[in-house]
Amino acid sequence: MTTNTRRHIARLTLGALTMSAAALLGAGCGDDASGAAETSFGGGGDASASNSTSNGTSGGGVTGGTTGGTTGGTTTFEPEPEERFNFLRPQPSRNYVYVANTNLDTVARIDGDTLEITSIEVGDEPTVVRTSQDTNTAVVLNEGSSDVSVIHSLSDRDEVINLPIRSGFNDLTMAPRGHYALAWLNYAEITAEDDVGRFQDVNLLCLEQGNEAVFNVSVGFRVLEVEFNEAGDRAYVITEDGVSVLRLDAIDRDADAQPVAVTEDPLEDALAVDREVEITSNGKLALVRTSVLMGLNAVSLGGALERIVHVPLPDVPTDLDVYDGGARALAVLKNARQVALIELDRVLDEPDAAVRLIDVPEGPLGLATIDPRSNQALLYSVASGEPMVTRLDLATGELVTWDVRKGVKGLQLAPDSSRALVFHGNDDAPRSMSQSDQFIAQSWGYTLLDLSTGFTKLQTTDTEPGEFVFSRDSQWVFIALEDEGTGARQVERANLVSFRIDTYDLASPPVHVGLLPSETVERIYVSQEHPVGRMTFFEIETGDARTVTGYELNSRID
Amino acid sequence: MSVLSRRGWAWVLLAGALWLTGCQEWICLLDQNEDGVCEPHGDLIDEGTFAVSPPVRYNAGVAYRAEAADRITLLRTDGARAEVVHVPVAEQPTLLTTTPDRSLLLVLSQEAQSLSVIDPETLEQTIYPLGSPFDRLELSEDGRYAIALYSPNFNSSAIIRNTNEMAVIDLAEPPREEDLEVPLAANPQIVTLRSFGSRPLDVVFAPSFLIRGEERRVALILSENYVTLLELNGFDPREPGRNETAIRFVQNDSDLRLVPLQVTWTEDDPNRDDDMFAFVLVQGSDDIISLNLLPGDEQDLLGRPRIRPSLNQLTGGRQPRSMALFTNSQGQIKLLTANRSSVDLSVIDVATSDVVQVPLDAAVDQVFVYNAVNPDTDVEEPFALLYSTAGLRTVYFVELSTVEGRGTRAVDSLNLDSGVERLELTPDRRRALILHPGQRSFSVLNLERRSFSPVDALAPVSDYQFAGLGDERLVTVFAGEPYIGLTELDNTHPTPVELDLAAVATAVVPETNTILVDHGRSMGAATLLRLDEPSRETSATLWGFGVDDLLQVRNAEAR
Repeated sequence: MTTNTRRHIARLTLGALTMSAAALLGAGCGDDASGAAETSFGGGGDASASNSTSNGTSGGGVTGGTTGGTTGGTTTFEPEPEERFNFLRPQPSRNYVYVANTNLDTVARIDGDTLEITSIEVGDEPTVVRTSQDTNTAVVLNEGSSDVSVIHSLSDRDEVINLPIRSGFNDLTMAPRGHYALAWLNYAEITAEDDVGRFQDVNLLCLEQGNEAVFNVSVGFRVLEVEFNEAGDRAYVITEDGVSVLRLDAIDRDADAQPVAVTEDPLEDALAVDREVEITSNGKLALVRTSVLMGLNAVSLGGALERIVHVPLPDVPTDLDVYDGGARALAVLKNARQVALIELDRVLDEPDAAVRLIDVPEGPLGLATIDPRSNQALLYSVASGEPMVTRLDLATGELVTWDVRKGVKGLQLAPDSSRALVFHGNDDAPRSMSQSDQFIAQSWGYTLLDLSTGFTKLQTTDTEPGEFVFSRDSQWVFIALEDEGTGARQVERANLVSFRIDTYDLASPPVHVGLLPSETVERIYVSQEHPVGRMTFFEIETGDARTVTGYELNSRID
Repeated sequence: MSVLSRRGWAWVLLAGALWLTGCQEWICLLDQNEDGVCEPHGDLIDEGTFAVSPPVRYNAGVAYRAEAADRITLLRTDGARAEVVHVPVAEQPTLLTTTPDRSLLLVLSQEAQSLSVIDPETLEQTIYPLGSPFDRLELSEDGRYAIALYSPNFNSSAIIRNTNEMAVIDLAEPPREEDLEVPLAANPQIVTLRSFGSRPLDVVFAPSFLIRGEERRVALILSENYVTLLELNGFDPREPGRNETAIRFVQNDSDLRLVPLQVTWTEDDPNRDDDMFAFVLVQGSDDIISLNLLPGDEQDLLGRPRIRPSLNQLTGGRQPRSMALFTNSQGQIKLLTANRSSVDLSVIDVATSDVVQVPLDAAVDQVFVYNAVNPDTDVEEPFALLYSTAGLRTVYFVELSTVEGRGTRAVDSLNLDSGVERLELTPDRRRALILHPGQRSFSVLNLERRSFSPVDALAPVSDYQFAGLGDERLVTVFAGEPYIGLTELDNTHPTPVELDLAAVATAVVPETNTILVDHGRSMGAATLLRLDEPSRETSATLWGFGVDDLLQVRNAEAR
C-alpha cells in the first residue's frame, strides 16, 4: 500500500477536523487567507484539486459522521461533509514541477517548457514537496531523516540546503511569496508508523537563500490547520485551543505563540463540535463556526486587544466561507432556509447590524460556493442527496435551481466562474426503475454546468473522479480517473465551451494532475504510480500526450 | 578485354606461367627484398596477391576488392558484355561498399587509415584521412554521412587503439582540416565517445528531421547499457564532446547487462519540433527505451538548440524480440513488439505508454508492418506480419486498424510447409520471400491473399536477388551448382538457367540489363547474362579478370 493510499484512508477515517476552507476549497473561492495550496480559483493560476475525500473527512468545512444530531438551540444540526480539494504533490513553482520520489530519496524537477527532468538528491524518504509560484524554490519534507531540503533552482544548478527539524512532522505549508514555510504534524495524514507525540510544536523554516534557518515554535494543543496571510508574513496555526499567530519576520529564535481563544468555553472539544475556523486574508479576523453555536464567533487577531464577539444567527451554520478579499463572509443556515451575509469590517463592533439574511425557501441548502465576481453563490447539499444546484444572487436574492440529475458530492467553479464542475457519487436513489436510471444512480460521474444558461451535461464514469485541473482560460478541465478494482486508468478532457469530453487511457494509475508552468505551450501533467516515476503531459488545446518514465534515468541524460 | 572461351583462357594462363618461369629477373622484380636480393617464391604466382572479394553491385556494374593488389576492379556491364577497369586505391583496401543509391563506391583502408570515395563513371577519387585503422563503415540512408569505427572482432596489428574512437565523415563535403579560428570542424571529424563501461557495438542513423525549421542529422551509437546520441554536423572544434549525449538505461549500481539490438525511428512532421522518436529494443530488458528528441535550452556552435532527449520506458510483454511502428487512422503512433516469453503481441501507445496485449498461440520473434488492401473494407490499411525464426511453421497476419479493440479476433494465421529461416519483402512490398531451414526450399508469401507457394531446390540457396522494382522475378543461386533459378513471383514459375561454372553469388544490375553470377574464383570469374533474356547461349564468362592487366603492369615495371 502506497503512502498516498494510507493517507487517503486516514483522511476518510479520522473524523471531524476543522480546516480552513477558503484557501483550500472550492467552497471558498477568491482570496481568503492562503493555506497549504494555491488559492486563485477565480483569477487563473493553478486551480487543481483533489476530489478524493468523502464523509467523515476533513474539508474546509464541516466534517460529518461524528456530530450528527448535535444541536444548538432547538434546531437539529445535520452536518454537510464538504469535499476537500487538496493541492497535493507534485507542486509547481514559477518554472518547474517538483515530484518527490520517496523510494529513491530524490526529487525530480521537471521543466515546464522543455520537459527536461533533473533528479535532485534530498534526505531520506521525501514525502511532501511545497513550492511557491513566485520563485523557483521548493521545500521537501524528508520523513526518514527528520529534516527538510530547501531547493533553490537557479539557472545553471540546484542548490540544496538540508535543515534538521523535530522528528514526527508529516506536513509542510508554504507561505505566499515563498519566504517561509511551516513543518507540522497533520493528524489527518497520520499513519500507524507515525510518531504522534509532538502535540504542540511547529517548526518555522526561513527560506531566504543564504539565510536558511529553522526555529521551533510552541503553539496550542494539536494542530488542525496552518494558514498564512496574503503578505506571507503571518502564520495562523489553528489548534484545538484556538489560533496561534506567528509574526514570521519577528522570529529569530525558538519561541512560543500562545493561542488566541476562539470560543468562550475553554472546555469545548473542537473535534466534537465540528469547529471550522476561517481567517481573513489580512489576518485580522477569525470566524468560527461549530455545530453547537447558533451563529458565529468573530475573533480579532493580532491587535492590542484580542476579543471574541458572538454574531447571533437564526440557525447553526452548516458552512462558512470568507470572500471578497476578506470583506465579507457567508454562512449557510440550512434549517432556517437562509443564507447570512456578514460585513466583516463591522462585525466586531456591530455584530447584529453586520448581518443580512437572505431567504432560500426552496432548493438544496447545506453548502455554498461563492463567485465574488458576479456576487453569486452556488448552493447545494451533500447530506440530502438532492440532485440540484441553486444559484443565488447575493445582491437581489434571486434564486435559480438546476437539475443535475444526481446527488452532489462536491462542486468547483472554473477560474472565470462561467462554468462549474459538479461531482457525484454512486449511491443515488434511482429516479425510476428503468435500466437507464438505475445505471445512472449506480454510477460515479460529474456534471458540467453552464452558469449563464443552466445547461448541464452529465458524464458517468466507472470510478470516482479524482484530481482535476482547469486550464488558465477556463476553456478546459482535465479529470483523473483511477480504480484498482476495474483497472481504470484514465484522464478525461472536457471542453467547457462545447462540453465535448475525450477520454485518454494511461499506462499507470494516475495520482496527481496539475498545470505545468510554461511560457510557451500550455500543458497539464499527470503523475502516475510507477516504480521509477512516470508522468504524462497533455497539451491542453490538442490533447497531444507525451510520457516520461524513469525520473532518475532522465536526470542522467548527459 | 575480349571475351575468350574457357579453353582459350587456359592457354593464356599457361603461356604466361611458362614465360614467367623463364624470366628470373622478372620474378626478382616482383620479389626483391629490402636489400635488393632476389628471393624467388616456390609458387610462380601467389593467387592471394590478386584475389578479389565477392562482388558489390553499383548502378552500372559490379566492383571487386583486391586487397593485396591495393586496388578495386570494376566490371562495367552491359547485358552480356563487360569492360574491366582496375582502380588503384589506398594500401590494402579492407572494405568495399557503395552509397545506398549505388552511385558511389566507398573503399576503407585499415593500413592507410583512409576512406576513398570513387565515382565509378569518372574514376575520380576523394580520399578522407581517418587517422586510425578502422575496419567498419556505416552509412546513413541518404548516403550523406558515414561513420568509420572498430568492429567488435577487430583484427589489426595496431599496438594501441581506442575502441571508442570513430570518424564522422560528411561525404557531401571535401576533406578538410580543423580550423580553430573560424571555427570550423575537420572533415572527417574524429570523435572519441565517452564510455560508461562499454564500447560502440553498432551505429544507427536517424532520418533527417527538422527542429525549428533547421535540418538536424544524428546517429545513435549503441553500447551495452547505454546509447549515445551523436550530432553529425555542427561540431565545435573548441568544445569536443559537445555533440554527444549519453542516455543510460540502467542505474549506476545495477548488475544488468542490456544490449541494444534494434532501433526504429518515427517519421518527422516538419511542422512539429517534438515528434521525433527513436525506439530502442534492448536484449535483457522487457522495456523498450523511447527517446523523444526535443529542443533543449542550450545552443550549439551554429546557434541551434541542442537536442535534449526525453526518455520513456515502454513496457509491453516479456522478452520483446522485434518491434515495428505504425500510425493508426487517428494519427496516433503505435509500437508493436513481438514478445517471446509472454507469447503475445503488444500494441503500445507511444504518447501515453498504454498497452494492449494480444495473446498468440505460439511465440514469435519477428514483426514487421506492411500495407495491403483489406478484403473486408477494400481499403488499403496497415497490417503486421508475425513469424518466428525458431522453427515455427505458422505466420500471423494482424489487422492493425482493429487489433486494439478486437484483440485476437484481428489475428489470422497461416501454416507453411516448414519453418522460416529468413524472410524478406519483395521490392513492391506485396509479397515476402521466405527461406526455409536448410535453404533447400523457399516460398513466396502473398501478403494480400495470405497464401504461399513453395519452391523446392536440390541444393541450398546460397544467394538471391530480386530483379528490381517493376520486375517480378527472383534470381537465386544454388551453392556449388552451375545453375541459377529465375522465379516469377506472380505465379512462382521457376526457370533454371545452366551456366558453365558453379555459382556462388549473384548481382542484378537492372540499369544495365545484367545478371552477374560470380563463381567465387580468386582471380575473378563471372558469368554475365541478359536480364531480359537470360540464357546460357547468350551469356558470356569472364575468367581471370582480376589479373587481366598482369602482363602490361609488369612490363612497365621492368622498364
